[in-house]
Formats: sequence, structure tokens, C-alpha cells
Amino acid sequence: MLPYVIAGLALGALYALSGVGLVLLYRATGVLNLAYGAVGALCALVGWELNQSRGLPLELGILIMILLTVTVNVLYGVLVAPLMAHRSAVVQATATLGLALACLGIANWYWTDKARALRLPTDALRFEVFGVAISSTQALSVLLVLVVAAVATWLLRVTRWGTNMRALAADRELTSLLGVSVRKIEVLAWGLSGVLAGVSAVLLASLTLFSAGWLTFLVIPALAAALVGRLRSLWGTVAGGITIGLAESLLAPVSGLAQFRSAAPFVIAIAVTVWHARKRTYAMRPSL
Amino acid sequence: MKGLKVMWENRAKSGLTIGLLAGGLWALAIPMAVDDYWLRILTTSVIYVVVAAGVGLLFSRLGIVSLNQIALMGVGGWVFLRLSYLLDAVPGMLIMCLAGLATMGIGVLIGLPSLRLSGLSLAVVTLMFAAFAEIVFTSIGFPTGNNGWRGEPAPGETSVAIPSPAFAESNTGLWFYVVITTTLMLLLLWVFLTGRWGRAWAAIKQSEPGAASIGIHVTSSKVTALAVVSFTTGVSGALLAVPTGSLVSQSFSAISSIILFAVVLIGGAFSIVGAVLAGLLFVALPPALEALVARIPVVLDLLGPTFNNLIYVAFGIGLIQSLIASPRGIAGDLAGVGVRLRRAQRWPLDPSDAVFAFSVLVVPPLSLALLDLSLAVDVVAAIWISLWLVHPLRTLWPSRSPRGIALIGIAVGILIGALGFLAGPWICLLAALLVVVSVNFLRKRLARRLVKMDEELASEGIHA
Repeated sequence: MLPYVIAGLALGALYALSGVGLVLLYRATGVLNLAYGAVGALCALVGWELNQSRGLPLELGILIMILLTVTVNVLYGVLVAPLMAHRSAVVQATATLGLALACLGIANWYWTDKARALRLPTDALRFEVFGVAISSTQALSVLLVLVVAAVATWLLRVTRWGTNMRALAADRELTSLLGVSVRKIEVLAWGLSGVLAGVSAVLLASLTLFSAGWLTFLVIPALAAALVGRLRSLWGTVAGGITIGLAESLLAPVSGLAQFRSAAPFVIAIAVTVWHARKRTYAMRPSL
Repeated sequence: MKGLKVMWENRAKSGLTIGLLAGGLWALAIPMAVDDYWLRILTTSVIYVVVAAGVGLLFSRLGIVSLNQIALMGVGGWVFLRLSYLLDAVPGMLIMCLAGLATMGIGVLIGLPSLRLSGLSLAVVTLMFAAFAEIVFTSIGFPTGNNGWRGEPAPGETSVAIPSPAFAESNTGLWFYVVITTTLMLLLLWVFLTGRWGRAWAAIKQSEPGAASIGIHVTSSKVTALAVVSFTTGVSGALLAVPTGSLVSQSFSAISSIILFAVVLIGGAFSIVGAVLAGLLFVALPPALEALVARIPVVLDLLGPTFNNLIYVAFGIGLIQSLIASPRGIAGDLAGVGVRLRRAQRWPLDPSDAVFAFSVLVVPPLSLALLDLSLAVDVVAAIWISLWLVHPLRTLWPSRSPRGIALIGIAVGILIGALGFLAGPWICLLAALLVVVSVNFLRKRLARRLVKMDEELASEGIHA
């Protein structure tokens, strides 16, 4: 049982990390980035290519890859997203599907949808707790999500940048009227989200499967985690991500359900949505 | 019902008649014009037209982004196959309706909770359902026999395909079967769109609180839209199973739901023409590109064998472009060209005119069906030129009688057609282009001269 719990915690932590990246961007700019997984996948493939065929050291490849996710994200955030800033949240989210399709298309064209292996140096460093071997990639993932969630909470709640971000998400025009440099905030938010996308793509590729299609759709458990946090609460997202990861992992040894375990995010997200919808009905009743 | 009657009596009637007539003619012409391979591909495209129309309806009328339509199609197909093995004697159309009803139930169940929250959560939840359905379809598979709830044949038994309806056994018969069912589904959507519900949806699109204040139940209106669209989507999923009597889970991946959404926006979410374009882009574009690239080895060498994935890039960019710059898609842009032509009076006739409809919608399919390709191009070019010439000639010779002008137009058209007949369709198109350019040039010079004459008259104190 314990090995499954460990694996589930690590997986869940990575879902949570992606979820935090999504929520951070959504709270800062009002865009739910559905291309989160696809951008990470494409850039991870570029990093892998640099390492494998161009002989760059792995660390440098990963660094370039993270820089690349930041670049793609910032370019989208600066060039495309503002054109839709006045549209509804669902239209802005739908537009990011276009980015996802484009990234997935390029990845499948150049690298095909073959699964690859990405070995990180941290994979080899293993230690034992209660007789269970834990790789330091797994430990790193759990640690990372806690640190990132704490830092992101601090950033959004305490700093001036965070206040500006929340203002921007609430009303772009009013924020710019108040003298906040909207473009700068957007670059920061998209860039931070890009860093998280890159990091979680590398870790997920190493812990699960390294293929463009797979990584693209890993945005779904991350979205489910974000929905658990109602796209607002960072710690709710962390809790949601870890729950989903644990559920997926603990279902693996159950025969009959094992093949459906990737459906866990959907089931949990639907359950949470129904729960929220129940509350909302009461709030809405007087107006409808 | 009263609203329906009013719509029927007004403009929608002529639009519907022209649409049905032209659609019917195209439907008759296509099996005669293309070979079996392309007929099968076009048949599949027509099935997807209904799904595209549903996605378009939800997005354009209600702003609902539903990313699970292909998965719902799979649900419809699955239920259809399962029931077909269970109920041997029941006619296929009835089973299709049952499959549609089952899909409707599931579509509403997914949509209902998140509809109450926000459009964004509906989009996210439907995307999740698409991924969930992909997992379920790959692990349980589609029914291929008649044992157990999964409908899988027992070990040792062979799988049986569902027999097609008697008249749908040939490719052409299948084409008409699909076209008729599709038309019925589109008419169902049309009835809802032009009736009471359609007006409720229009009010909700304007303002949700406003709609609620005039007594429209917002949630149930939205749920009705989801229900109707899910029903038609389920039926088209069942229709997809008819040609081979079986389905494979690869057809219902989550990414294809996203691609369908993209092509609907590119084709145009507001109209049936857009849905037809979306169906063609979704199904027929990849094989068409493959056929094209196979002929050009340079491109194949340059792009490699996986070049078809680059279509995703085009669709992705197209999706963003449609959302930002062209909300009505290609179909809307085409309609816009028609309106602009009419305003500039380049086109001799009102586009809603019967003659226009005849020349654009009726003549090309008929000539494609009855003649071979090069002759069809000649005939269409000849007729278009004679129609187009009417207006410019009238400005060139204002004194000539309309009948004389029509005769000149027809004579030029016949000349061009004959030229094409003798020298090939490319020469014909070239000649037609030449006529258009030179007549336009003449007209502009004449117009300038007329303006100058006007000014001279005005300077002499005479007002024309």
C-alpha cells in the first residue's frame, strides 16, 4: 500500500503544481490557459532533442526548455491574449485551445506521438523511508508544490505585484486607469505560469510518460485540481491535486477499476462541481 | 408554434426553400460526380455536419462552449450498436432515435451542474468528459457481438457487423440515407432555433438577467439547447456506425472534440453553410491534402510523412483568428462578400433573388452531375458571365432595352462557353476573366466621363 501512497503523493503534487500555475494565471489575468500542458510538452521535446541529438548537457537542455516555455507563454500573453481581454472568460479559455492545437500539431509532426524516456539525475538518488524506496524526483515534487503554493500565496496576497494582478483580473481598464502598467503585470503572470508549466512538464515526463499527446492532456487533472479550488484558492488546488493523484494511484492495484483510474480527475471534478452548483442555486434563486 | 408560423411566412421560408432545393441538387449531383472513395469520405463529412451545426448552435446562440461533442457522438454510436444487437426486429431509424435519447440524457447530465456555475466551468467539465469518454471507449471498446452488457462476442465466437438497411447497401444508397437523416436532424435544430426556444436563446445571449426578468427560465432554456444538440449528435454518432456496422474508439478521441470546435469556428458557427464547411474541413481536408501532397514529392520530402499533423497548427491558428477577427467564420465572410457586391452593385441581381440562387446553387451541381468536369466548368462560366454582364452593360449603354442587354450577355456567355468547349476549361476561365476585367475598365472610364459631363452641365447652371 505504502508505495502506491508515495507514488500517488508525487503524482498528485505535480498535478497540484500544474493546477497552481493555472490558478495563478487565472487570478492574475482572467485567462484559463488550456494550452498549459501542450506548451510544456512541446518545449520539453525541444529540450530533449537538444540533449539527445545535439549533445547538450541535460541541465542546460532543461534550462533552455524552461526559458522556451516562458517565451511562448509571454508571447501569447502579450500578442494574443490582450486582443481578447474584453471577452468573456470562456472565450479567452477557448482561444488558448488554439495554442494547444498548434503546439500539439508541431510536436506530433516533428517528433511523432512516440513515448520517450526522460531520465533526470534526481531519479537515481533514492532513499528509504519505512522500507519504501523514494526517488528524490518524487520528494522534490512534493516539496516543490508546497514551496510554490506558499510563495504564490504570499505573492498574490502581500506584494504590490500581487495586488495589481488581482486588480487586473477583476477589471483590466480600471487597473490601467489607476496607473498600473498592465502589460508588465501580464508579462510577469504569463512568465511565472510558464516557469511552472516547464517545471511540471519535465517532472511529469520523468515520473509518468514522455509523449506530447499525454502531456497535453495532463492539463485535465490539473484543471480538475483547479476546479476543486474553485479556480481561486491555491491551497484548495493543492489539496485537490494531491487527492486526485492519490485516487489514481490507489486505484491501480484494484482489479476491474485499474483501467479506469485515469478517469479519477473527471469524477472528482464533477462531484466538486455538483457540490458547488448546489450552493450556487441557493444564491441564485432570488435573482432567477 | 405561432412564432414558427410567422417565421414560415416571412423570409425564413424563401431561405429554407432555396436551401433545401440547392442542398437536394448538390446531394443528387455528388454521387454522380465523384468516385467511391471520395463518396465515402463525403458521406462521413455529411454525418459530421450535424455535430458541427450543434456545436455552432450552442456557441453562436448561447455562448456555450461544449468540448465533448465527439465523445457524445461516441455515446450515441455505442448505444446504437448495443441496442441493434439486442433488438433485431426493430428498424434502424427507431434505434437511432433511442440512441439519440440516451445521448441526450448523458449530455444534459454533464451540462446541468456546471451550467449553473458558469460557462467556463461547463467548458472545462465537457473537456474532462471528452478525456473520460476516450478512456472508457478504449478500455471497454464498442459492441461487436451480442453477449453481455458490453456486447462483446465470447471467446471463439466471431464478431458480427450490423447489417445496413436494405437500400443503404450500395455507396450511393448509403449517401442518400445519410443525407436524408442529416437533413431531418438539421430541420429539427431549425425548428427549435426559429421557434419559442430560439427567441429565448436570443434573449439570453443579449443579457441573462434581462431574459430572466421577462420570465425566461435561463437554466432550462440552456438545458433545452443542450438536450436538442445532444440528441442530434447522438443520432449522428449512430449514423457513423451504419456504413461498416462497427465503430472504433480511435474515432472518438478528446483531441478530435477540440478540433471539431476549432473547425466550427473557422467554418462559421452561425450558419448551415459554416457547418457544412466545418464537416468538410474536419473529415475531407486530411485525405484531400494527402492526395495533393502525394502528387508533389518535393513537399512530401520537405514536410515528412507526418505532415498531416500540421493541419492542427492551421486549425489552432484559425481558431484564434476566428475568435478575434472573424466571429462568423468563413461562411460569414462569404455572405459578407455577397452583401458588399450587392451594395457596390457589381452583381446584377439581388443575391436573394431566385435567379441568383439558380445560377449559384442550382447550375453548378446540375452541370457537375450531368456533364464531365471540363464541360461543367464551361457551362458554369458561360452562365455566370452572361448574368454578370447584365449590370455593367446597362451602365455602358443606358439607352438599350433590358432585353437587348440580356441577349448580348447571353451571346458573350455562349461565345465563352464555346471557346471553352473547343480549347479546354482553362482557356474558358481565362477568357471569362478577361471579359470581366475589360468591361470593368470600360465602365470606370465611362463613369468618369459621365461625372465630367455632369460637372460641365452643372457649371453651365443646368442640373441633370
